[in-house]
Amino acid sequence: MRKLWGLLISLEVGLLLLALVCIAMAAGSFGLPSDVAAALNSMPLFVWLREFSLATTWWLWLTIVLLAILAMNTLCCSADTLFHRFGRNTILAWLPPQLIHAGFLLILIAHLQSSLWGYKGSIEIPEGAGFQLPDGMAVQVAQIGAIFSPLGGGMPLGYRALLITAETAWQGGVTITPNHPWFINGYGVYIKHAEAGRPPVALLEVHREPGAAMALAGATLFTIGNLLLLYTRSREREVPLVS
Amino acid sequence: MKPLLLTFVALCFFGAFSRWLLALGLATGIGYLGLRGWSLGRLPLVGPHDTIAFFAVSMAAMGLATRFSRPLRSAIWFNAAVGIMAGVFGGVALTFPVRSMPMPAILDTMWFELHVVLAFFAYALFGVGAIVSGGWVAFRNRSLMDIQFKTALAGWSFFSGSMVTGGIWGYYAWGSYWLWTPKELWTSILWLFYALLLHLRLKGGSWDVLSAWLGILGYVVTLYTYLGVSLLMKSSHSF
Repeated sequence: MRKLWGLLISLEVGLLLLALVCIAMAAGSFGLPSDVAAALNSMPLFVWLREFSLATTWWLWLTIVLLAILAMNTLCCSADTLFHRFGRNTILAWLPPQLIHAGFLLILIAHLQSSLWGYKGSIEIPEGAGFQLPDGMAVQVAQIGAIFSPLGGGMPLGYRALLITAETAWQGGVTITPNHPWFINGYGVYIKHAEAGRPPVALLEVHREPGAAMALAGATLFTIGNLLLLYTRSREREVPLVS
Repeated sequence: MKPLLLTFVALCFFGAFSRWLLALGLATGIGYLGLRGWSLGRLPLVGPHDTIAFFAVSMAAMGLATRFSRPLRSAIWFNAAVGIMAGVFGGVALTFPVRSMPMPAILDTMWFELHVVLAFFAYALFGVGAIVSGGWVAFRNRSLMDIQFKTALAGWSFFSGSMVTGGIWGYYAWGSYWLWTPKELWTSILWLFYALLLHLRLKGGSWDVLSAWLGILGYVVTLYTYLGVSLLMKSSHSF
């Protein structure tokens, strides 16, 4: 049992896992055909992993397994540090790395949440037509337009669409543009592209990222830990270079 | 405006022999980026010319800032390496055409600007760390490994900030805080690589040789993440 714990908190194991994750991801980046990569971003991760063969997805399965062991290693290392250093050292000596570890673990859990329970869908829809969100809410695309630079130029900088639902009709609907999606009932509605015509047609995407809030919480915790670590390490003594 | 960037390049190369010339070069580079930003009405962070110029100026800035640390104040080799590296990247920026197009709406957000600026500060610090690692390989002075650790930690912190702001931008722009493209994969590789390097310090001085060589290799990974992926692989971050 003690041997297993020693392995779980081993720094060498952590270093090896970090190196192996890097290698697995690098292999994946070189061997991923563009159509398969496009599919990977159009559906939640675990749906993609189920749909494609192991010959295509092996590197991502390997990455997930390695990250799971790394998460265990991180958790055990933090637990061991807290057990041995809590109350014996100043709080700034042991807290910042543990906050970073906690943030990292929360971000991993957030990715797992989004990979398992996320939703990604897209629809090409003409102006005046309607569609339904996965929860059944009816949305009408009342208007589709393009955004041009005030300085002129024929190429649009982006596109916009006016969406109307029963809940937003009283305020004249909501306009979505790039970087300004519409969030409703856990879903985000995004405009990706539009084509001029009679009527104009918009390409809309509907996403649900159940891990987003946890990812933000993890990122916040991580950043606080990181800033504290920078503060403590910047106060370390420097020795003049003797050549 | 291009002559100003050319002056930056020249001053960086001559700055290899004098920190004051390098400081003057940095001021010129900041002036160039400022004027370019003024003419565009935004930070110059889109396209190979602007980003490589920003990278070169960041390199000079981070190099000079690191030079204030006590062990490097009299290290002429460090000044030379920073000057040459910043000059080379400034020269590479000059080879790309200057394009002044309006910012696509998808990039017109503070989160994008923060994401890119923090990434370049990180890349520059990883470059400075590689120089210091090279110095350790040559002179074997332990205090250089302290500087290498600090540059790696500061660079990793900037890079983490870049990933966080990039995730927030992605959530509003693309509908997800994460995309599985070669750029994101290599961003993760770079982040994990420097996490490994930082943890390696816990092993103590007997691992300095590996640490120094990884500090140099880290810059190769950095350049591939920035330039290699953008130029050679199909990605949302392609030039």
